[in-house]
Amino acid sequence: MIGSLGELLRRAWRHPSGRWGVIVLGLVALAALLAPPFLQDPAAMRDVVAGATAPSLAHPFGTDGLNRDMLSRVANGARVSLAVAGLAVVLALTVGSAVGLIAGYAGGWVDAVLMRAVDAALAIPRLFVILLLLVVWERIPLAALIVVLGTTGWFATSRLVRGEVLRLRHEAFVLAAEGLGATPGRTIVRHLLPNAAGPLLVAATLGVGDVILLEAGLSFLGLGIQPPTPSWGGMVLDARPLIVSAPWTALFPGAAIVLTVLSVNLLGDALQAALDPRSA
Amino acid sequence: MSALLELRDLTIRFPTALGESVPVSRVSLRIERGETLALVGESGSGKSLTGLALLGLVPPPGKLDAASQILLDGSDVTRLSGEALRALRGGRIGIVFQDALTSLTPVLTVGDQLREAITAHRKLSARGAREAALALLGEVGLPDPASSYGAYPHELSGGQRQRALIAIALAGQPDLLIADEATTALDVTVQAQVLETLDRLRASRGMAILLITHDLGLVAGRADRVAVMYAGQIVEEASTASLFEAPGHPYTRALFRAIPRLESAVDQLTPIPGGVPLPEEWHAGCRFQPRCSEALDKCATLDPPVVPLAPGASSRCWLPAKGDQ
Amino acid sequence: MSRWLFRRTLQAVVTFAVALLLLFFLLRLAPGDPLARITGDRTVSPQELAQLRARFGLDQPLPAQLRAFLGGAARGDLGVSIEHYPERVTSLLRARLPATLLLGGTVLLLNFSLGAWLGVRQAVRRGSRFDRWLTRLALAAYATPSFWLGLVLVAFVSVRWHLLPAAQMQDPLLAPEAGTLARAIDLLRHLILPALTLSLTSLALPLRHQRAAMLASFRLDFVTAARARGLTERKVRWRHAWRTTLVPMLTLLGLWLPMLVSGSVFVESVFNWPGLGSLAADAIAARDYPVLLGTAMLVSAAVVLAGLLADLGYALVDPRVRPT
Repeated sequence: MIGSLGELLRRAWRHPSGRWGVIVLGLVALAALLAPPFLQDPAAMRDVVAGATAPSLAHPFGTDGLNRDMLSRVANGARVSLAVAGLAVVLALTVGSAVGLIAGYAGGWVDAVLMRAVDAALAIPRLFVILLLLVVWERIPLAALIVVLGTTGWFATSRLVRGEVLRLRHEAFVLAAEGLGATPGRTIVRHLLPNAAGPLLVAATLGVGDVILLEAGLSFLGLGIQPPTPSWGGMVLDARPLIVSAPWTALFPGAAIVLTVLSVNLLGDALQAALDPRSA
Repeated sequence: MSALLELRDLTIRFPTALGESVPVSRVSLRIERGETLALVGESGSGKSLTGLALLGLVPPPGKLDAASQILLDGSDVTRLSGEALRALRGGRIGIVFQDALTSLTPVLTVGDQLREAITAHRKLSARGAREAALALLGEVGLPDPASSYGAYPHELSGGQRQRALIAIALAGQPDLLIADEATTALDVTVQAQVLETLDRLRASRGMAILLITHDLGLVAGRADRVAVMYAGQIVEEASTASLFEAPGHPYTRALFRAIPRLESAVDQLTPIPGGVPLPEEWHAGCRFQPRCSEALDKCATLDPPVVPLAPGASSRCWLPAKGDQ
Repeated sequence: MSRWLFRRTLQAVVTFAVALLLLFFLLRLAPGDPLARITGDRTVSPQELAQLRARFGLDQPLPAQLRAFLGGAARGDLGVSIEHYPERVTSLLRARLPATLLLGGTVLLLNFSLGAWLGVRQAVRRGSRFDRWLTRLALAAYATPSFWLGLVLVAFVSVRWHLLPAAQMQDPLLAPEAGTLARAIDLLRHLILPALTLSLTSLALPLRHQRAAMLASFRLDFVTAARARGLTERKVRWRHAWRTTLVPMLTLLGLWLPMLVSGSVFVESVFNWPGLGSLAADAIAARDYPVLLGTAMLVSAAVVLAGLLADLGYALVDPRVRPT
């Protein structure tokens, strides 16, 4: 399984936009990791009255409305966004795989009920579900945000995993193993992972992009990452009254979102193309 | 008078990951007005590609070799493009493919597609086109032209669909009709009927037919002349009568031995050992040599010449002409 | 045909009913007391609190609440807004729906036609610079948050360059006796920026779908057969190849509508467009649950309906699919 994953990644690397995606994503991740020790504390307020200042050597991304260094804020925002998105996606994959396994393996009415529920859940746009779940809190705890983001994004994964389980159930070798007395469950799981790993990885990368955009939007609405923790969406919200007088306060966080989501999506596409060359 | 169609050294090349593949190699043929030429070969022989090349429909990245010539009424059509090529397709050369279900657009009715093909080549009013379409459907032997006209391809039976396809191919009133395995997918009885229809149409319109098939049995009594194709080359060309009487090439002879015949009481059919080689496997010398039971030593290394056997008949072989059977 | 239609509609209704159930339990799931939030800064006496609780049925046991909820939904009564008390949720939704329909409809039309035209062009010119760069641009736009793009557009196009209005649906200063044409133009001017924002950030989806579907279509035998009949390339491309892509493009509708709806929450909020999206955004700030819930119910119904219409569309577009 590691071998086939490695092969997949290697083929994705050969894809030109995939390579670009990995590089940019790597840079963003690097910035996120190196931010705290090397850049100023984003919450440190200095001469607040000075307000937003344009980009300069001292502040390559300028300062925001409260005269906080934008570069450090954007870099720290990367930490939060990547962490939240990563955890949420892992959660979504786990839940989705579990549900898919149960539905595919149990079959019968369990499967029918689960899939009907998934259909109905998909009828409600994800954003609205998240809004309804988050709107009860005064200050949304980070854990709650991650859980909400994760538990609203597992439906497609469950269908995918269920599909694989169903396909494998009817494979000759599983039936043979069953005939020999082995539990089909073990066989399925052992063969499920290598087969599903590729599509799951693609779904994961594309899912990360979606979650970053969602989280930014939620922060923009005040329902995401709460200040003073820097978040890109929150920065755009803060920049709203300054957008004409100090456009850099909105430009840089926005550009950060675009670059990160784009690189993640390009990576996902490259992985997808590596899995199924005809779709290129 | 020049032939209706003459192919000179038709060669088709395909770039592949492993080098260049030449699935059709220096094919030369003549078809006279109003005659039926059968192009016989197994799958992989390059016969369908030859048919497509006449219409400029060789699928990319395939290309015609610069030395290839396709002369229609004396003028070379290999360099045609744009409006001239469009007018040729369906207007001077028509083609009927094997599978009518996949050759007809599923979202349009037969009538839509037929009218479309008619107006692509003839200036007619909407009413005129409709009438011409209905007439054509009747001409190809469809019992209820009106209902076929309004039907979608998937709503017709296999035989009806094939007839509809023939009607569409005739819409532009071509001088040459290519039937590329046109009846292979049909039941035997329907097959015979459709071939009858084709022959009738040929006579009534003075059309020539290029009958591409793998089935030698179809050829007897239907084609005037036969060209046998193997591994991208024409290995024998003769009138149908003399081909059946005395096949000149070992491959043709082997083909005859492999099909059951009513007259001779044969206990065993002799299949030809081995399989048709892929273009990548072709080498110098006779391409049939690995499977040939009559091969000489030099067949393995020296390209056999095209030897005339009789007027209009030739064989690509080192063996002197002989006829057994 | 009508039997199939009946069954399919029933299926849609069931899906919607289950969605309603899910929505009901969603609110109850979140920890905390919903009422504690709205009272906010004002000090509320225990009697007032009890009255509010009774008014919103929050003092009832869960099964009773569920019955009241479903019953209300069936009757078309979605309760009363907390923020705009005592306005009914349904009247608020009805007032805001047209604006969202206008914006959403425009974006749908824009994306479908642009996506079709450009996607086909990409497929025909596969591998060209046009193809590669358009894909990159569309992906970059897809990665762009709609609220951010909206803000940037407003800042430059409206405020800096004074080309188009910055917010709302109509010029409040427009003279009351202005003719229909003047009103229409004014509306159009207000519509351009929000529609463009929503359209650009979601164009990648129909574009890529169309391109892929077209490439698949080109490989089909009947396309070669159509060329062999001497039809013009244009006819082959549109009447034969493209028409066959309509079915995969219709499947996109079900995927796309939820995206559109979510995007409109941000875009309407940024442009102050008086539709359902901005209603939801305001409801968030005010913690107005009935309105949020009502909006969620309405958009879910729209998504289910869109799916049903797409299925009907298949039958219209592809004769092979028509149930006999």
